Amino acid sequence: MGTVETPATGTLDNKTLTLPPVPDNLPRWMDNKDRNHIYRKRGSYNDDIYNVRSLALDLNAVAVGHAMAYQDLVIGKADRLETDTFNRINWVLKNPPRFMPDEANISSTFGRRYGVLEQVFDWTHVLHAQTVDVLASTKLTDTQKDAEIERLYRFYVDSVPYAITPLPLNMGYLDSQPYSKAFRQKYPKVNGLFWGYHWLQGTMYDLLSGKTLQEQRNAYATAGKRYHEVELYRTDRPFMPMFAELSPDFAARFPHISNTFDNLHMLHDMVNDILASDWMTEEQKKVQIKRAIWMVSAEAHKDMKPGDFNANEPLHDHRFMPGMPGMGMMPAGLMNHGMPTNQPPGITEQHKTNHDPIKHNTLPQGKTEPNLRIPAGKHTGH
Amino acid sequence: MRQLTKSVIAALETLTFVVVAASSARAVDHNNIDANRPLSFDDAESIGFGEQSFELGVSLVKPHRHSVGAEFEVEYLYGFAPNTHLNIGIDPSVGADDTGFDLGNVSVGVFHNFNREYDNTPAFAVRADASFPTGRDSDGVDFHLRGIASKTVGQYDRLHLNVDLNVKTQADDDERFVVPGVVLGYSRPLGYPRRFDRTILAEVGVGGNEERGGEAIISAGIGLRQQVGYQSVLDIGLQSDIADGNGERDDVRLTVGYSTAF
Repeated sequence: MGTVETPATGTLDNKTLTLPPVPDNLPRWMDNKDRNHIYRKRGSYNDDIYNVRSLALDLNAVAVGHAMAYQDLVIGKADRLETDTFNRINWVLKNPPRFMPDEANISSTFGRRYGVLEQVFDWTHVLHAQTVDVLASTKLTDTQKDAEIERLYRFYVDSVPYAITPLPLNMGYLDSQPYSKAFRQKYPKVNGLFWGYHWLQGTMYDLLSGKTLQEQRNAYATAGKRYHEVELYRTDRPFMPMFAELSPDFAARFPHISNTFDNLHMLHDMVNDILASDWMTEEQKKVQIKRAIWMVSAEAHKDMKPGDFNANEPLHDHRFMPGMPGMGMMPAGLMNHGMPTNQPPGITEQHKTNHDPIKHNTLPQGKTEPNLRIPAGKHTGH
Repeated sequence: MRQLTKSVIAALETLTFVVVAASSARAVDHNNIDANRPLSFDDAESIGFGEQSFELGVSLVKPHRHSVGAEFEVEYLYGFAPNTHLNIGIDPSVGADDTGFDLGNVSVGVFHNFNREYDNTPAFAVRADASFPTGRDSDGVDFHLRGIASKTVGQYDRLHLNVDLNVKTQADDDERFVVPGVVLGYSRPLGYPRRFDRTILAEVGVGGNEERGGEAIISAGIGLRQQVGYQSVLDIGLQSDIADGNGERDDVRLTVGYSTAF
């Protein structure tokens, strides 16, 4: 590899210099060695997503994909991700499990190496699952559902320190780390599946809200078809689908929850990119994953509010106003992950994104290099 | 025999009632292994903080030179603190020694997990149980202390080492006060990557003989845990004493159970 000038370090000869340090004042829970399994909040609605059975089964299948990919990435099977791993995940997506699988069981090596990350993921997945259970409940009124979703959010925030921030973090910043975009460039098919999951998880909130059970089932008959036939296999998305775009009504009513889920998905992307960056050592990956957790954690942004913006502290660029969902700095003109589009007949998403400038920056498949187009922020803590 | 049959039916009806009553609740993972569900070893994981669970089982037992009897177990678990749970159980039995129905002893215990498995470090846990003499012909309190280490080997295979110490506060003249034991358990999810709802189990154990002068007893077992509800699990297992010091085979035990958490 040749010497490359970078804004941050001058050269790439020592790539590690591009890696931002992890703060030394991180909370103790980030180094815990405890299992710390917390049971979900009790409710009559738990598992009611199975009322819309085809959606429930698709969500069960979603749980498998990340776990299989993470496991293969950490046990030396990364070179088979776009073939064997993709095929295994795709088989499960087409033949979804009857019950929610235990991801930790599938990705045992990944879990032993990154246990706290697993706990952060798990805890927000619990909120994800329970909010959807509430929306699928046939026992609660719409008013009761809204109130229960808020209670679930309080339970999520108050029960453990693993909560992800509800602030609208600056996606442009999170997506411009030295390792950013490595996964989508190296493994576009598997990344397409994951962003297809995000499409489903973002779409289902408005799809379920305010509808009778039969209407929910009918709505998912259409959305599920599109999910399986189109959204899972798109490799032309410039960035991950987000809630404000896919479920605007839910995001407007619960911007804090919508932001939490977008930040969770961003954490998934950052972890994918770190694991896919073959120029990092195992130890550097551990450190950067810890830093990524910290960047999206609620604790890192304690007592801050939407709208805060400090040009010297890119981590605390929460530039959207209170009540406004969506991560800051979505690249203009690169939207349209949603269901309907206003484009004229014959103009497809593929046509649009083929002219996307990001597309032209894609590295050859199989290569990852530090992302040097946007300087990495220096500040990661308070 | 008629008395025995009536007792078995009564016990099964009780068990069925409890299962049905608990069926609206939700249950446990197939890969979270507790003693007697269906084999004798524990893994090192407690149930979740705030989680509650019912675990129910029935075993058909064929003691050496005796007729078949049935043993039941009803256990309630509560995750009252992080990585720690309480368990309360009772183990009625019927007919194993032609003595009819016995309510069995009430046991109370605490299970604590010290750490999750990380890097090459196993997960460690300890459980302590006290069994009170509520059953027929029981006297004295029995204490059971168990140390547990669980370690993944390779990608999916998992080993569980259980080291036991059983202490009787009152023992007959021909009985030992302290009986040690070791069980090595094995578990593996079955069906990956095509299915994710089943775990196979096996164990081999060596335990001290409760009778003074008796030789150590070697036992083995094999079992299966199958997810049958959103969070409920059915288990089935077969255990047998392979040999004692005299080379004799002894108990054979077929166990079926159901666990649910809520």
